[in-house]
Amino acid sequence: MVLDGAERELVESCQRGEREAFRALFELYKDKVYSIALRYTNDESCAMDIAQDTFLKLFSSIRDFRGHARLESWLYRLVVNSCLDHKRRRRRLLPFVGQFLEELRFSGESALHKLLQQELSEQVRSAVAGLPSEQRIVIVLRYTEGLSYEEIAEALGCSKGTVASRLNRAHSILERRLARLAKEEGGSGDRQN
Amino acid sequence: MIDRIEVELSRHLKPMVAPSYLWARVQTAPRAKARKPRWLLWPAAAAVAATTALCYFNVQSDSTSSLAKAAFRELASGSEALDFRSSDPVEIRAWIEAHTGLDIPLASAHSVHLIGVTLLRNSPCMVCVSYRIGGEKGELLVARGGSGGPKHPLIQRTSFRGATVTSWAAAGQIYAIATSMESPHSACILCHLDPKRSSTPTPAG
Repeated sequence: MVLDGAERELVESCQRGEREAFRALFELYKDKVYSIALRYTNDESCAMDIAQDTFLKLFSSIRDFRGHARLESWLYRLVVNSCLDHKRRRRRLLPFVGQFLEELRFSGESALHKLLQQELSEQVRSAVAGLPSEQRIVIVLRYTEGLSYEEIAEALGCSKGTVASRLNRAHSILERRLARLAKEEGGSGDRQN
Repeated sequence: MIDRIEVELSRHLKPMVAPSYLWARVQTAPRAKARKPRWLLWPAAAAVAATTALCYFNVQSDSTSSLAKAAFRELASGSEALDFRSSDPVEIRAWIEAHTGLDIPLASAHSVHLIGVTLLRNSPCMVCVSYRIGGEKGELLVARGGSGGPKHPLIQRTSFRGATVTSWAAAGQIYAIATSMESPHSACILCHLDPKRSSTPTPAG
């Protein structure tokens, strides 16, 4: 068992089927699960589907959890698998055109600045969303959750070397895609100073 | 530039707060298929038992044969697309049971590296467990059917284009392993930690 006292107690309560324990487990991890799903899919509706799916899997399989790994690591594996499952089913959407047009209705510098910031964020997220799924999930675990290479390797069931190599490849791809963007943003930052 | 990208990624991919209605969605979502009480199946099972017995030997041979072909196709395709990726036998067993009702008693053997599961067919269910032993890939396909006993005498073994496909039936499920390993018996450790000592015999050669 690698669980600490409180975690072990929570798991055991869930394994006994105590409703409050399920709720406590949900409260503990809902933001992590949702954040990973949202950053992976870049779509709120898909993120909700993945988060729901992950918690259903967690609740239905907690009886089999033996505590050989940390609960958090196990949860990361569940959400990663849900993301990869979802990726195979999803259809691509173009959700941002409407939002962009909506923003154009506003005028004034603050609205323009907000629009630029949102556009920048969106371009970064879109660039991440365009990565191959195995690289994208590594990026999300690294930058959304701040996991170490070792923790990512554990969540994905691969070696640290594989994690490093996927991150490296993802950085190179993002570097190319965002080079122009970073330059433009650097320019706008100079103007603000 | 990489440092800059790392900064941008941390800034634009920061964690979010889950919407408050997520819990309501989790609570109202349809649960994974619960196992039906077996006693409900008894009358139906009794009604079809005679018919099943008559057809049994012919069907078993056909089923294992088609499963063996499917196993070979999976191995030959070299596909990496999986429905569930894990190296943990407990997780894989639980996932398969939750999604198909099939029970595959995978063991934890150090020499076996499990890769994941592909759901090949929904009705009737057929799953494929992908694994590696010593760098060689193997595919274990399982479907419902075959004999009801725990023992599984060899039904058929065929070799084709450097791959060996072994198929058998046990405990109401049919199995087929396709591998390019020289000794297909090495795949026995998927379910048997020590085939020599196991109470459930491995497919005999």
